[in-house]
Amino acid sequence: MNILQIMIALFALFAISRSYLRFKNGNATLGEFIVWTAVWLVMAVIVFIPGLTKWPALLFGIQRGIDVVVYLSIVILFYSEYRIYSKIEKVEQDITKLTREIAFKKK
Amino acid sequence: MKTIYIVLPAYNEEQAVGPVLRSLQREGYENLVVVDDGSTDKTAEIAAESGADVYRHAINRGLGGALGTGIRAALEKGADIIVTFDSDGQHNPKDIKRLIQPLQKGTADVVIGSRLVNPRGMPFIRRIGNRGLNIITYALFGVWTTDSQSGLRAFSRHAAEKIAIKTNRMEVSSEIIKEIGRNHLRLKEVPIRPIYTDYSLKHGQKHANGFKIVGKLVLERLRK
Repeated sequence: MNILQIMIALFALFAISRSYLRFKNGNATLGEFIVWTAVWLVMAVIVFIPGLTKWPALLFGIQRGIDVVVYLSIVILFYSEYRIYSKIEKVEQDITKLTREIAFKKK
Repeated sequence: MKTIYIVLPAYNEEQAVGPVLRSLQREGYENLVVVDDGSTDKTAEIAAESGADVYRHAINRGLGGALGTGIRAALEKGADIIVTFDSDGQHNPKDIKRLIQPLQKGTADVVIGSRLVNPRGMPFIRRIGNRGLNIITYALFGVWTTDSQSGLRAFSRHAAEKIAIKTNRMEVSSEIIKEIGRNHLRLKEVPIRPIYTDYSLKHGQKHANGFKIVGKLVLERLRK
């Protein structure tokens, strides 16, 4: 047990509990709660048993398990960012639509 | 006799908008629509005093948002020809007559006033930036224009109804080109001579944003 493992384990616990609270308060759907919990559990497990990453590494033909984790994380991050960007664009367009309606109503 | 409406998007132009509107009225254009895009100064009041029909955005949306509002207003009022005109004094009202001629004759659906047919006086850096942008625009949308970023444009009613303006900020100029291509509208260009003063240079499009524009255009192409 090293410091990093303890820190990440604690943080994972914290994140999962936060996610559960949001679910209970109706701020998150069951699906969201399950997904986030799964993500944090996987992270915690990998931190405690790094040897597990050797399986995906073998599958993809990459030397080190940690490399697979990093590559996958980057892909997932890029995709998340694209989705967020698209949502923001849609929000901006919606704001303009509303601003336009107000402009016409003010006449 | 075709009804002509001039649409002027304006953001904090209290100094220029009065003189610009009067110069348009002197040329005989009475149907003036000013879209105050969330100005924090007296743009709206001065525009109204000068006899324009003013639409106010509560929040600043950008050039695209303002044009969308102005064009919709002009269409609702029954415009046959809609001219977009900058409110910072960069455009010359005397150019409008030549600009709308192809629309009057029915030989085009959209007319763009191009500054690059006669590039005297335009800062060199801006010319290069425009050239690059135009090549990319053609590669992306199949429409060739020598000045896609020009704010002086004219639309027939038919064209204005077909064009869907969704982008909010300055990349709307390129979105209009895309819409022209998408709807197979006939585009003609007419040379214009912009008025470059210290004031209008400060308020015009900054060439540094060209990269951001390209980025957004590519994303837009991908989204369709």
